[in-house]
Amino acid sequence: MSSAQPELRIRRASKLERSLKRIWSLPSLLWGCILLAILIAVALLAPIISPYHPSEQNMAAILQPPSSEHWLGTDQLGRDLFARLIYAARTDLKIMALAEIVPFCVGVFLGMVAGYYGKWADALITLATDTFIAFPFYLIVIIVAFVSGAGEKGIYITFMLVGWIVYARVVRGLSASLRKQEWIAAARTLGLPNIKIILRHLLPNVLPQAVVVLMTDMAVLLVAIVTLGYLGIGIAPPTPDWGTMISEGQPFISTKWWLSAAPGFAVVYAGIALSLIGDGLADLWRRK
Amino acid sequence: MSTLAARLHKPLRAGSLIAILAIALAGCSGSNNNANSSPSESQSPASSSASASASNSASEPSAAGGTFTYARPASVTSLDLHNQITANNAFAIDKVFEPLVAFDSEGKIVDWLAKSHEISPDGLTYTFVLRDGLKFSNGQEVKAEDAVFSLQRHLDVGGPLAIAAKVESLTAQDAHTLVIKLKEPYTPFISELSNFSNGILPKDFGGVSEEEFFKNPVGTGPFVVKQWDPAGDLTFAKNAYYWQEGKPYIDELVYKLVADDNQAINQLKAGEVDAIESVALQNVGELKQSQDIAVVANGSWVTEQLFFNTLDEHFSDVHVRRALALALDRDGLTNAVTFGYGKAATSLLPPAIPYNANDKVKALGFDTEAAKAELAKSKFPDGFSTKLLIASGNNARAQEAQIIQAAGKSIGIDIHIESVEFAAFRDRFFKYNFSAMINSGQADSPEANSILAFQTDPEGFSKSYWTHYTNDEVTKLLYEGQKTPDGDKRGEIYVQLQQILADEVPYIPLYYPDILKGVRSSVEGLVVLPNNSVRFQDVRLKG
Repeated sequence: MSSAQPELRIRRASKLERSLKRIWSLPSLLWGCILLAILIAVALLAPIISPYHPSEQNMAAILQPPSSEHWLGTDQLGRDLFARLIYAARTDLKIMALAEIVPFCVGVFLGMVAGYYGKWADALITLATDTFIAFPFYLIVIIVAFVSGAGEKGIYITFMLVGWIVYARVVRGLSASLRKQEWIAAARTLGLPNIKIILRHLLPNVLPQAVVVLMTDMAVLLVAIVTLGYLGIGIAPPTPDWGTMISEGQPFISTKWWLSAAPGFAVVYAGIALSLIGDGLADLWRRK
Repeated sequence: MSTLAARLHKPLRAGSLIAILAIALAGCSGSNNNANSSPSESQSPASSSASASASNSASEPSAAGGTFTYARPASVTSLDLHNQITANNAFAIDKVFEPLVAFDSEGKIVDWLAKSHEISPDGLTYTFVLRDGLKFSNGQEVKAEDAVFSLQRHLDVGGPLAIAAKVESLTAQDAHTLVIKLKEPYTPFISELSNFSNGILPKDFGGVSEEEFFKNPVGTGPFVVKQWDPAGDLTFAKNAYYWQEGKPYIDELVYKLVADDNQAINQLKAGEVDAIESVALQNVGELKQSQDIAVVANGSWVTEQLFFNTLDEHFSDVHVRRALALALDRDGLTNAVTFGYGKAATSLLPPAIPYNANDKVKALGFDTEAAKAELAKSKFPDGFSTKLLIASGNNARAQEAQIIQAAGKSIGIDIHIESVEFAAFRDRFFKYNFSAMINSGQADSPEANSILAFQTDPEGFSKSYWTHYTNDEVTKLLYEGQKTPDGDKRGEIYVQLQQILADEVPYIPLYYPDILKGVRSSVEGLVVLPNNSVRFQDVRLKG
């Protein structure tokens, strides 16, 4: 073992080098990572960047236009819009990331089970995914969010219930085709238990595709979180959120358009960053 | 990994989806913004006529005639004056039927179909003399027996705005004199008679069936129904026999159904409509940007309030309620949500109602330190966590809730805002299923008793506006006020009553919103009434 290690290190280094080279040759991935890194940095450093607290009201200075004091002006309750914008990035990105964990794990696992076992397991899981897909995504999201109650908890519950489908469908198709491959058959012939085959052999092969889907889905989920906020059944005030900001600025769209445009731009920005990463990753793994 | 050949999505699909959605979201209209502010909310709108802001620019003669189009958020579904209460119907009924007395902008009662009225010193006998030559829109003369029939039907039907006075008899003393006798004095009676529901119609519905009559009603109002789609528009023609000579100046009045607020604003800007009925406070800025549009405002009979459920674990404690009142900056709140079209409230009655006491009642002013001291006296000196119920889709209420939330936080009360859709909201507070809520109280007529009875009578239909606030002293004053004749003594009773309410805070009056109408600059003489209705008989259209 000890003698093999230096060799291994060399191989790893060269692999990393190759990966880096490939990233340079993939501008979409590179730009996606840069954009996202900026966004995350701004979100994390929000208290340092902005001197204002996002829910600090000032009735004496409502609806002020952008100035050196308030970079994006103030909203209807005299709160600093820029502070709200970057604190909202914290809220929305955090919820987006957390809300993806369970659907991702469950979806990938169920997809593998369905694809690998086929037969009744496949039939059952396909039936479930097809049933969900028969309804418009937002209809389900709004109904579930409404029933489970507004707020952060409701968002987690909603996406736990509906988020896994997209992964299950993609992974199921992939697993079904991999199942017929010889190396899986070989593993089975060697007497490996099914669960081990799924976790050790199938999982590493479906994961890259699942991660690509994850990036795209995160963008969709972010928009869904914002939409729920916009409709008033998402994140509850006073926590800042891009969706509620868009809706609160709407009455002033013709006179103070930046109130809605700024959070709208933030959503588009985050969405573009995530999709670029998703596209870049797909290209990266496809070229190999 | 080499097996990953399938490209499952197109580049930037999610990105472009987001862009489209973001644009759609921002462009999408807030059509609900004003849906809840219709005055039909649990209290009723009422109608009658009063000159509120007669802006008729006098002598300059404008060309008479023309069609006036008025955009409204809901269609007229019924014109049966005794069975209707909601704004969509009330403000069409008051164009067709008129009462014996009406009110002016200060809430003073003026004679309308009656040329004079007299109340006996014991407050039991009311005598009305009809105007000379008064005619219905079919040309028939109006007689005292028509008034007897109209009021008798209202007594029989009851309805949502039932006559509260104990009426002993209605008599046509002669062809033009009506005498009403009461069993016991009830001072608000004369003011309640100015309600649209006490309009005068021909005896026996002019000989047709009830159903037929209200499809094509005959009244004394300035307009008659010409064409009516209960799910759409209503076109009125001018009443050729109207008693105010030469009026109305316009030939036709169209109530156009435009359900969406933003669409109504756009149609006003484009000149497709001459005025819009429903203008949310936050949209005033947008309207005023346009040179062709004027915003006409008038004081209302509405008081926006924060209500406490006095059966609630925390809000049953008077110190808690007082503490929150002290922590709240009402002037700041009013400034933030009304944009100058509202007045901060200290007492329950709005300024457009007689006996309002905004300057006499000492309310709990904004003082965070006093608020903390007050909370320390309560059963919850270290604060607590509670919920504030609001109806969703109302921008002003959502903002108010956040201000109240911040006020609570400043003294250690953690307030969670619960925003539910309107039907659920109503359902919740009717069942006392709330701790605190934001809602508004509205008078039916320019009469202090209207709001006070609704909000202080624990045995009444409204259970002190669902706060279940019970105070024997208040109830005693309320009944005293109903029996005391108009004058200083009655005024003193109402100051005393409102002071107790300000001290015990079953609800915090927040502000008195103005009534706002968006009107094309080419319109002259539109009169906005404090009950949210509009008078069209003086309207002229320029060029």
